Amino acid sequence: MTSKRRSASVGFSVLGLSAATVLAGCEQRVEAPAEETPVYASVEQCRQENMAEDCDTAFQQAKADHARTAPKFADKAACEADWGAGSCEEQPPVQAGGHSVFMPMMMGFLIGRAFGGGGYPVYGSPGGGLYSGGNKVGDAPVRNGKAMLPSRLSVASTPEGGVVSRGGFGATARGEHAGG
Amino acid sequence: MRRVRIAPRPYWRTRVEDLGLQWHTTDQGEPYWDESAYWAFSTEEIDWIEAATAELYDMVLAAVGRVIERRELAAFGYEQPAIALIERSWAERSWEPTFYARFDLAFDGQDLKLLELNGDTPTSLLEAAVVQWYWLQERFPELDQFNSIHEKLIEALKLYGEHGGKAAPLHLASVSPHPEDEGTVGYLAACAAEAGVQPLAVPIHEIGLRGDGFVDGENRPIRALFKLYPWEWLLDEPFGPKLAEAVQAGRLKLIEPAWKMVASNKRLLVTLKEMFPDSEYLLDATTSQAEAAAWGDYVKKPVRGREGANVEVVRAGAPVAARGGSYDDDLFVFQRRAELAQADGNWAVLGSWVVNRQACGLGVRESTSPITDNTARFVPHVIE
Repeated sequence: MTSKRRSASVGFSVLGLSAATVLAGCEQRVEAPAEETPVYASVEQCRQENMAEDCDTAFQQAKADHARTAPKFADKAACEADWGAGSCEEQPPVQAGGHSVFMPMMMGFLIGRAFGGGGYPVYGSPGGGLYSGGNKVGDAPVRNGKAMLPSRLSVASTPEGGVVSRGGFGATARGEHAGG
Repeated sequence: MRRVRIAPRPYWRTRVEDLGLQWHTTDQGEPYWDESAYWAFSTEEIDWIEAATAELYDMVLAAVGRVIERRELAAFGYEQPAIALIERSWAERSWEPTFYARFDLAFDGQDLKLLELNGDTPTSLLEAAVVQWYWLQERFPELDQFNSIHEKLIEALKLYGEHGGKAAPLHLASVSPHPEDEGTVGYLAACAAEAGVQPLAVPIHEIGLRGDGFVDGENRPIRALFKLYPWEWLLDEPFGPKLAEAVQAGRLKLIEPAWKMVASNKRLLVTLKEMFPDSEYLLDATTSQAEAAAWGDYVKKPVRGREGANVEVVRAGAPVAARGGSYDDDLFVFQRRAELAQADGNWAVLGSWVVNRQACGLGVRESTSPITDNTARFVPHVIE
């Protein structure tokens, strides 16, 4: 009999390959010119180059972001192992009876100019790497095992400019099936 | 329709794995892909299912339109910004790409009734479109199957490509690591590549926010995103407000579009019954437990629930089956209970696919419980 309700063929070249394999061949690295984003150690330093209120807003945003998104550790030793001796601070428990956590101190902040000027916290690792939004954004000189922000520093931002934060999707599924 | 037992192909595991179905066995070691039986439908039954699916899809579109025009979205459990997103996507639905949807139907050969529609994140796609097609090809090459899902998906993606979809890669997001969800998205990615659209897979948790826009794990901008992840979850999560802004501003297109939330919301079952009281395909549905109690036999469902979670089956006023879940604080609807096809101790639900707005195929799910959940086995079918 003549089949007409079924696909005439399901023979396609990529069938059976995992998504990762399929996609590896399609990847194109985009090398956009890196944009320089200044990192400020303080609001005062920021105000020398920017509108005062922009600096205040950015600093407040960075501080709020810091409390919310900084990497958290159960104890001080674990935090200092990653971020260096004397580089961690305690965050008191959110509610009575809770445990306090430790997180690296915010060493400075940057203004994401390419996308409306939001402020983002910057952290320095003992190896001199500067991190923001979970990404390495640059390098700083190291003194006494700590990254030091020089008086003026610009970091290379990601292509098209800006700091990337991640982890804002996926929590509801908790790793479980999300289709239906 | 009848259920026929048959010996599985001895090499079935490697065969279905070759086709991309890595999740053929459950964590409990039970087969999920189950070819120890198949369902046989007559041509007349398939005609019936196809016509019902097409008609139901038209009715759903009419009902979604009415809910939006009458500003009833709050009764469906939505707030801003979801409401604005739904309204915009509906107003622009002619330009909003939509790939697929799956009706779950109760059919026992006598009555055919709509149970619900999954228009936002339907799965069992690879199983229906590809794996059962190859099963038929090897077992009963002389028989037919209601299954041009694959062809229609390629058509849908070609259409998408011709209407601007080639301007940017199509990102496809899923939970990861997760064999089933990644496998489903991987299949759609392969269809996209076949249709000339560049696919890029991205684990949902790797999506990054950069200013007002979103990027993938390699910091490539995301302009078009197929998400195997419910809209409601995306909007509730930390990036939700920025996602809403980006979609409203036209910087990002999501597939499926936001109006599919309403199409999938089980509160729509009540609207459908109000609008089409005489449709032979619709069960009674109400938001009133008292009204349902008067029927005696009914099913209580959370309006945004998925995979049988928080569903309760009541017969003669007494609960006979219930499943827990995380939707207990949702709004609920009550639907008169329908008879599912039953054979060999199994209840079967028909998944009837709409791709590119055409009814185009069928997948049967079987369960030893009257509540079909994520472990319900996929059983192939033939037309005889």
